[in-house]
Amino acid sequence: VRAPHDPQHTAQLEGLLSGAADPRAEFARSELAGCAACAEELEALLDAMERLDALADDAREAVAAGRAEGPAPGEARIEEFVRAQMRPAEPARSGPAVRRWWPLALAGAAALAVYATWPREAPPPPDPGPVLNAGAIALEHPVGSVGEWLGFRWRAELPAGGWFRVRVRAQAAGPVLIESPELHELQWLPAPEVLSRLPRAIHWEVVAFDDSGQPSEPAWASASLR
Amino acid sequence: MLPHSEPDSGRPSDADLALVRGVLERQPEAAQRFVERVRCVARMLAARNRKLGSPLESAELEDVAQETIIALWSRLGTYDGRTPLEAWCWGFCRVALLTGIRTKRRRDDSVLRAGHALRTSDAQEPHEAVDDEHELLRLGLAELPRSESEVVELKHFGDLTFDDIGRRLAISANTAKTRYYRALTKLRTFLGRRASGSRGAPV
Repeated sequence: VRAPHDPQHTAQLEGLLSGAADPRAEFARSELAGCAACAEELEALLDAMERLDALADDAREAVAAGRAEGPAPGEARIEEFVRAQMRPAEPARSGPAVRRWWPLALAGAAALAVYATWPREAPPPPDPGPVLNAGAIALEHPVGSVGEWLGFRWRAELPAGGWFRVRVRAQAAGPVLIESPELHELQWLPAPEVLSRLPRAIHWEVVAFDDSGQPSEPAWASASLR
Repeated sequence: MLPHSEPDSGRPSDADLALVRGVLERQPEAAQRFVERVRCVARMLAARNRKLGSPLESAELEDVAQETIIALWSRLGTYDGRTPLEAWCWGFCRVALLTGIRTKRRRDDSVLRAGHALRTSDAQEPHEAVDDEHELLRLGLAELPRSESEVVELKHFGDLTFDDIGRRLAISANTAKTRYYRALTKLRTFLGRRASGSRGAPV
């Protein structure tokens, strides 16, 4: 039996949907059963409820897996990223101290220029190579301006049982763009497609870890594409 | 959101909110606890990847985990404790994993095209249809006023009764029911509109 839709049906429908254990069965028993508009509305609302339940189940399943599963790929990177972000900020490398000392630096540069042009017979001292901010790790490539990103190379003593980790950022304080796995050699050669996604200027650092996982002070360098 | 074990007490995620605030204030003791909690990112990604038939390999999953934690970290200040931390993380994981899978598929497709092979199908993967539907629901929820969406979340994601929801939000159970119904009708309209929109205008 068809019944015309009554605005009061809405309140009854609300009661059914928010209170009934089985809204369809309740609906069939109620006076709403003859209202085609309410029947259509009920089905549409139940469909929305079922979709919400499915969404909630999906999230519950994912979260349960996150709590129960064993170690998964990427956990080490997550840990290192968070620890790096939590590390106290390093003092600025080009702040007021640099500005305060620039006259001295200028004087030093002038002295060097005089020294370099002074006539002498002795050969110049050998180039010690770039050693940046590291007692034990010397970054070799890329440093300064380079033609293309080929990979990362450094010199260091590998701690017994230890490993290296390379992190690359766009800027010193920026987020890590790419990060190496545990390395046991003095270079890291990411895939060309990974390198091709790097920006034109990067800040990269190498950290040595000893066998207990204790990190060294990072050695860092900046480099850019010509 | 997860079922709440103590629906009548304060929000179960208040402790998570305190933890996140500690992290943002760089409290050392918060760091370790936070690291332990956000390991779930890698685990959720691995579990979902497996469920989808392992489209990503281990190294690719590592990349996705890294992208997820970077995105998550950049939004950490927006965590409001409405959901447990893991459930909040899942939102980032889901997006990053989908992006990772789609990127890989596009890459594979372009390799196929470069080799003059025919692409087998332009059809959506089954999981993509499900994910799109879930995304649509999330969009619909996001369009609701917060007073209504929180009732829906507590009802469906938190498995709470209207009495519990009323106590949690300091409103009557009847008000909770009314907000729920209002939210549901809006959601149903939103979904209907989107469905008809995706079918295109009638000729």
